[in-house]
Amino acid sequence: MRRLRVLVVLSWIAAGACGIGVSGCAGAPAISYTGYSGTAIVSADGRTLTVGPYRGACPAKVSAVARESRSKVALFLGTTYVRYARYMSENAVPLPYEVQEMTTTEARKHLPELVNMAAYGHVTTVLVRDGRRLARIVPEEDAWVYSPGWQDKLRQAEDDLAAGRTQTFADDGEFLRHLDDIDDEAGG
Amino acid sequence: MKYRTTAGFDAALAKLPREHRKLFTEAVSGHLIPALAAGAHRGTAPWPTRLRIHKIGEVYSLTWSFSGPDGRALFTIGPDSDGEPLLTWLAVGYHDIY
Repeated sequence: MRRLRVLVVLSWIAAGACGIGVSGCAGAPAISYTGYSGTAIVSADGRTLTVGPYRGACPAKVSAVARESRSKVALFLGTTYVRYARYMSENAVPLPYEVQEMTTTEARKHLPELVNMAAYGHVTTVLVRDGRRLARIVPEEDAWVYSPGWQDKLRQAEDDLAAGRTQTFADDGEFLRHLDDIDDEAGG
Repeated sequence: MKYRTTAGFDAALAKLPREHRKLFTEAVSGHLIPALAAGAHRGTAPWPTRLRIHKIGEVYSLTWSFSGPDGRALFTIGPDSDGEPLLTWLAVGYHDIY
């Protein structure tokens, strides 16, 4: 079973699913995986596949992590998620940590995948009907950001930025001194 | 790296108990700043695992305390008017359980 699973992933990568790209290297453009050729190292548990380096453009190795099935394969660059490697309908699945919009009709067909994307890839899906955003599927781990208290904080931050109620610090030392000042003024 | 704080962030930080402000400062000085110096924001170094930094939409989330109330902060990183990276602190507080 393990062998089959690895084979599926290898075959899938070798096939070069169109449009799969890797971004995240500093200064490096997105790299297409189409026509991938390189080495692949399968981990002892058969769940992690390390591929690359790819065209020498990216110093870090790229890993594909298989979770149970091809539909749940995610690509990592070092410790950073870089791309959920799967297609849904005609559209490429968004990068992990991205926000995507989807109609409620489409979402109904793909709910299990959307839940997996949220849980494993931190992808937020905004559900849209008749052009209106109605609801969203968010990772439970990140749900606190959408609480009223944190949304108020973010709105206040937007207002502060728009009104110029900010302080800027040229380097680490200046910023740390600012934190000390806040501590002193607050009775630290 | 340049930094920017909003008035709301400064006020929220000042309202935290002293020991929690200390935890935040330690997370920044001991882990975040070294990671930024190593290029974590450019993808050339990993973010410190203990800070659990990750993007939520357009902002980054940072965990500065796991014990007691979970301490979280939100920030963005983008170029300033000179094109240099600027880290803007937006909010700080506790993970709301609901």
